[in-house]
Amino acid sequence: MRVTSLLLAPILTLIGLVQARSSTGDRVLVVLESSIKKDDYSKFWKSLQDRGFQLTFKEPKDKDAELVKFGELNYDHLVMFAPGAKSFSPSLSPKSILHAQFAGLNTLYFLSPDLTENNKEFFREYDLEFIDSSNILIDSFNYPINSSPSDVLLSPTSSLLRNGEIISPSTSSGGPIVYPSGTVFTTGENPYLIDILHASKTSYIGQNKLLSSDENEVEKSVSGNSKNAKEPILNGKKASLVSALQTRDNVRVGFIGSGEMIKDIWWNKEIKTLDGKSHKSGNGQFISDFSKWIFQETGVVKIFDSTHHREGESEPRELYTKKDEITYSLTLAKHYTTSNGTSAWGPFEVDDLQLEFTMLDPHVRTSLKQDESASINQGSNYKAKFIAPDRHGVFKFVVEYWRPGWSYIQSSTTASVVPLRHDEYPRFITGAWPYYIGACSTSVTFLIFCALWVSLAEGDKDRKGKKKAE
Amino acid sequence: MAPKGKSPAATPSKNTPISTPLAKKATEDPLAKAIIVEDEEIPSGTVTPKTIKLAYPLPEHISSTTINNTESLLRFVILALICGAAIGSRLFAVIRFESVIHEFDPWFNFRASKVLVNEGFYEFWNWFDPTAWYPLGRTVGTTLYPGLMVTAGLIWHFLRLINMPVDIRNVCVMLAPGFAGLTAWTTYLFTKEMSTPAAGLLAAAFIGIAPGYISRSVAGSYDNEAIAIFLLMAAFYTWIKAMKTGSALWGMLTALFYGWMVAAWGGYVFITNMIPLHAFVLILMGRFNNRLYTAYSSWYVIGTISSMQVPFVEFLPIRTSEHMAALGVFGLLQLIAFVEIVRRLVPGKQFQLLLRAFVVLVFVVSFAALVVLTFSGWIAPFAGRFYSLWDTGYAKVHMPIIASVSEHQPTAWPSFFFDLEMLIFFFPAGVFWCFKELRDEQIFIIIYATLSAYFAGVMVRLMLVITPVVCVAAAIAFSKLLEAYIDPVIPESEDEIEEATAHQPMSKAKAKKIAAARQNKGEFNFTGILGGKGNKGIFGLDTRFAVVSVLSLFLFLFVYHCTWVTSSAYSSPSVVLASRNPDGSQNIIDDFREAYYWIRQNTEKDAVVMSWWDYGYQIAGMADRPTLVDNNTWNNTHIATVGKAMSSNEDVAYPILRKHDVDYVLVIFGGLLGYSGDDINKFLWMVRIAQGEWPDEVQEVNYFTQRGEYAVDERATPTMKNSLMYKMSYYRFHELFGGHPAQDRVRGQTIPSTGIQLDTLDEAFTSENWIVRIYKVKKEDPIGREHKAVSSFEGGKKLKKSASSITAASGGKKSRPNM
Repeated sequence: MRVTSLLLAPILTLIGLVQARSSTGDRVLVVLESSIKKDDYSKFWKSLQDRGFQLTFKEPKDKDAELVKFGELNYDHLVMFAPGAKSFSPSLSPKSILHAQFAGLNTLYFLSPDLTENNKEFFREYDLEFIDSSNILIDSFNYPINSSPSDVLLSPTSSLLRNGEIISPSTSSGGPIVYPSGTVFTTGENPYLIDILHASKTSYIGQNKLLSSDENEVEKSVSGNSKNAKEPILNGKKASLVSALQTRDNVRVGFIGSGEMIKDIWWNKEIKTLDGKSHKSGNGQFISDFSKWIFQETGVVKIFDSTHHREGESEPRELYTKKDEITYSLTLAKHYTTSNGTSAWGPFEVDDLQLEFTMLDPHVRTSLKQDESASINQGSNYKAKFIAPDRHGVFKFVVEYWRPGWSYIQSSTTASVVPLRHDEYPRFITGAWPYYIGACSTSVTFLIFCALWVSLAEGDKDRKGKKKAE
Repeated sequence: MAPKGKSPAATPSKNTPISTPLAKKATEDPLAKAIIVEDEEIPSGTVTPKTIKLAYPLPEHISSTTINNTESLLRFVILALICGAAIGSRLFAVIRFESVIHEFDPWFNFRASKVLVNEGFYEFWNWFDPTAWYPLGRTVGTTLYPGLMVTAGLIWHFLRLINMPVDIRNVCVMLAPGFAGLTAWTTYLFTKEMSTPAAGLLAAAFIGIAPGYISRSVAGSYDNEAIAIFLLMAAFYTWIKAMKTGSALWGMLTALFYGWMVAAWGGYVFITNMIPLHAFVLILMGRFNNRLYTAYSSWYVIGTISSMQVPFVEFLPIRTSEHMAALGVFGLLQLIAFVEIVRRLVPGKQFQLLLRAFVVLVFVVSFAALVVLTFSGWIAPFAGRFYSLWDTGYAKVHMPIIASVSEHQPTAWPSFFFDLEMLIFFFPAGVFWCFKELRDEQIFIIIYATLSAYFAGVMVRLMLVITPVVCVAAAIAFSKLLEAYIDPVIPESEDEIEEATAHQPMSKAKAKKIAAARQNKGEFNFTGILGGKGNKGIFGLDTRFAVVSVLSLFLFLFVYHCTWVTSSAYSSPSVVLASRNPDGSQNIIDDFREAYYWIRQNTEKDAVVMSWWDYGYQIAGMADRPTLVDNNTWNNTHIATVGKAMSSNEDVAYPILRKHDVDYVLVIFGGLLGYSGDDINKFLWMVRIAQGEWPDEVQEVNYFTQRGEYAVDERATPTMKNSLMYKMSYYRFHELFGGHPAQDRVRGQTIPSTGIQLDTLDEAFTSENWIVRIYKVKKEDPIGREHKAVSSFEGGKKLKKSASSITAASGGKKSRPNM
């Protein structure tokens, strides 16, 4: 295994050179609804192309937009910008997109308040619940001057959640993010969902129209759905605006509640807030951070090698003996982009990695420590030494490292622990000396007895014979 | 058709050696000098005394050497033919189907033999099988009786040595018939010790074809019992021999056969207790002598040491109650021998009394010590299986896993006749004859008969143990009858006796004395009406003819019955099934192998297959995949886990399946074909065994309808309908009937046509006749949905509310994703 991975590593690097900086591929399919003008978003497309992606534009009903062909993915990533589309060609239907995602298609959804009922139902599969179509996020305290309260300004420090590598530090300390006329959703309990951006405390959900001073009307519009006024009001952290989902197989799906965020007019523009200060909008930075993560450029960790061996050996065994000293080593590497725009793998350093030696339940749980001495080209090497349990069975070396914003690290290698062989037991046991002595003395005594018996019996006969003779 | 070699034994009136003992006597006994054995034989030279009347003329002028030589030749030929018949009648399965390993356990033995042959003895000895009892694994080398595999391996090596490269499979298939031939031979020797060589030949013929023994030893039935019965008879024969001769050599031979038996079969405990019991009874009868002492001591010491060489047995002989009788009798014998010596040397009467008291005291003290050791845990009490021998209801309450095996059920009365036919009627008569003579060795038969008759009544499986003694006893009775009726000597009529007594005045007491003296000589004597008279025998030719022909008819019927039972009941490999087409041609149902080979060829090498334990060995043997549980039912909890998974609904079962890394689930379903040994019929045992471990989660009551019926149609309870086993069995079953009511042919019930939805499993394979159905366990959904939600989404249903808002009541924090 180690040999193959060593061989593979340079090849992978070569592939990275040829391709883009994404660790999986650079073919992007962009599905644009016909009502959305492509040119309004030119800066976003440009930024993607600059990063080396090849964009293909299709419409939701395009018959030739095939995601999967002959069981192979046609594209590596998908940008789905068709919130209002009522119908899709079969290959772009929610079900086929989901299946393509299971096969490895990273997807970035741009949504809007006009999200169709169909789409909403589909997003429930990811455990996302959207607000009513007519409602949008409004914040009457934070919006750019000369604009409407529906273009919500969000402060990165309070609204952005820092999760792993998704958002770069410069973004989270950068200018405000404009969230123009976007929808709001709640994320359910799905453990694979990661919150990225949520609404501010001052924002609310309502219809984007001027309200009269009638309090009832305000109340109504604030509570969202007028028919169902008892529903809790979404606000603050509960109101998610941008979320991501990483599937068990490390395929990434992003949901951005407002497609207009990437409009050219908000892309790194100077914005004047209500208090008159001027900031550079953080949209461009935020979106590129997010799309980098979705398209597997950042936060990607790979297991290069996992091996185990007995103390004093180097090759992995299928069978270990009870109480063997076993060394397990794991090589992890993080994906990064070099300065000249190529893909590369570098060290991944964490201090909370654990190894479990499991048969039904973990019999050994120990921390994997980074091994600085290991000479490896890429990545970092982690090692753990432990003594095999005194229990035979089929064990697994299990490493699981689930952290939001990083690829899930799962490794499971099977090896058996067997009892001692018939000739591996100690030959002489100290505790058994009484028995050894007992056995030996009995044998010796028996021999002596036999000898005596034989000689005395002879003598007896002779004596008897003599007596008779006498 | 009766196999060829059987006829000579079955028609004793023609040219059998039945009368050979008479011939032997003819040479010794002046009274019977003229009795000639065979009609065809040349008359001997002896002159018939005028006083003896013969029912039919006998040839004369045959020298005794000729008779002896002919006898031995005939005996040899007949024995060879009997061995041939024993082997031949076991080959139905090979001829009808193919040279294939049968049933369940033999598949494991076969697999182990392959390991032994391919990887050598030491690898076999240390074999750890990670694929069995996944993930616990099984240290096979130390948890099996290696005797069978080692025997097969030795034969295989021997055949290669003489340049006969035979596939190990064929060695395994043919091992049982081969050893059945040897069993016939040892039974002959054994019976010869008990009675006459004629009875021996009859016994050999009986054991050769008795269905009770054939049931476990047809070709392909490569199980421990295949060689165990041979070893049993060989050990008993050598024991009798040792006891008779008092030779340590025979005692050692007994021990060696005993050691081999220990290595081969768990039933060795029967010998371990039979021999001490025999010795003990002899002591009680005051028949202690030095021969017994030598035989028993040499057997016990060497036998125990050799049995302890088997890793699976190890220290059991000194640590479990089952073996304590042998140890106790050994001690008792030493004491008695010691006392005997002392008594011989020291005359004093008081001293003798003291000695007797000493013996009793030591006996009581050591027995008390035994009890104390048992209760303090040093000596393991009897295993559960032994309790179930005394209380037939014990297993059902305490060990459902043992009770669930059909061969552990109490025997049904008809099966005694089915397995032994007329022998079961002659059996008591034979035991009676043993009582009549009551020599040391005949006491052995009596003890053996009593014990095994009880055991055979308690457990179907132990029919095997009673079969040899039934054959021996029946043969003794049969040969006595034949001897009496073929004997050509006509006794003197009463008038003649009176005449004789008139001529030679003799008191009645004197006559009786003579009769008694004759009896003591071991001469044949009639009892009852005939025995009361001073003379005995059969008058006339017609009675002779009538009885002998009826007995011959019995023998013919016996052969016919045995052949029929063997061919119809005991020759199915159960891996391959056969049925008859309407036109009478044979239809082979090969679903098991079809499915196992599908697994072998279409799944990952390390894919774990879960099934009920019955099929564990077959999956390991034929599909070569890891299994959760198998026929080596050593871990009740693990089996109960599988039972729980099978009897629970999908929500409960799925985590169990995932925890045990199960990739495929295999069920046996006979509803389409009418194959009654399927999993739905075994299902209640799964429920019971699971209930034993988790009484709160699985309850047997829930699987019965309110009226207490075990139903699978629409009356079935929700628990039943939601159980994984029910779903897997009947999944898509109604589709097969195209709208007509779906009929389950085993249970004769109509399956509801509302489709069964399986969320966590995918149907992977269903065999031609639906006997084997294999399901693949789905992985967790990549985006974290419940499997029910996944299948409703795939089915085109849309969610009206998000999954969390449905189950949001708890509203807790996001949990860490679980594997």
